[in-house]
Amino acid sequence: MILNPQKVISGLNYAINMYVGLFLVILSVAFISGFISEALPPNTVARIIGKESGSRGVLIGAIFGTFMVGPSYIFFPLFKNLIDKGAGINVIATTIGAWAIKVQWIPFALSILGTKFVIIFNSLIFIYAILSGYVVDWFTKDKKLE
Amino acid sequence: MQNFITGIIMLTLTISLYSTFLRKDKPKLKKAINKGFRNLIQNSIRIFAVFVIIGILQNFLSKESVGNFLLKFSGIKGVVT
Repeated sequence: MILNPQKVISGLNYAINMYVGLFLVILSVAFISGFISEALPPNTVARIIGKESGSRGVLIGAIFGTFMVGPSYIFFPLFKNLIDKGAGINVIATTIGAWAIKVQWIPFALSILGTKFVIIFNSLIFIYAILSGYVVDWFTKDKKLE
Repeated sequence: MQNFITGIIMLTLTISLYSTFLRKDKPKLKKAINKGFRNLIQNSIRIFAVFVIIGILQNFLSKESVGNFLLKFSGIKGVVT
């Protein structure tokens, strides 16, 4: 900061612009987390996306992640809240993995990168997301997130 | 613009969730709002700190220097880099 205050100020401006641009999403995620922690009983969360939900839960996570828009890091606190409520770590990992598929950008990608590339690439991301869920679950078995 | 639209959709969803709650259970609604505010403050601090780090890093690492650095690698080395 002492050496280059201009760059630090421009970095701060970037942060403020990003924060303001994402404020509505940040606000919504915070209040949805509050809603989930009060309204949804843990057994309901566990039944839908918990470890007992098995491959159905993983599939729900993958589809949810595929169709979600916006940056996934904003949703991390919500995911933590869901895990605390009984959601499976495999489902959450799959959701975050599948988030890399940007459904809203697919038509644009098709016109520039070609159909073959887009289909293969997105299918691989989808498969990877599901696999990553199982791998993360295997490594975090019987452990709770800190 | 995309984030704004996403935000509007999510905010509408949140308001509709809370309005269903309002009809059913008012004390729980109050608790949920309080938790929401607490989450907002906690998340905002974390997210803003991350944005500041990204902003500063972006200014210190110019696009040209990153591009030139990546041009030095090819093949498997390039993929890993």
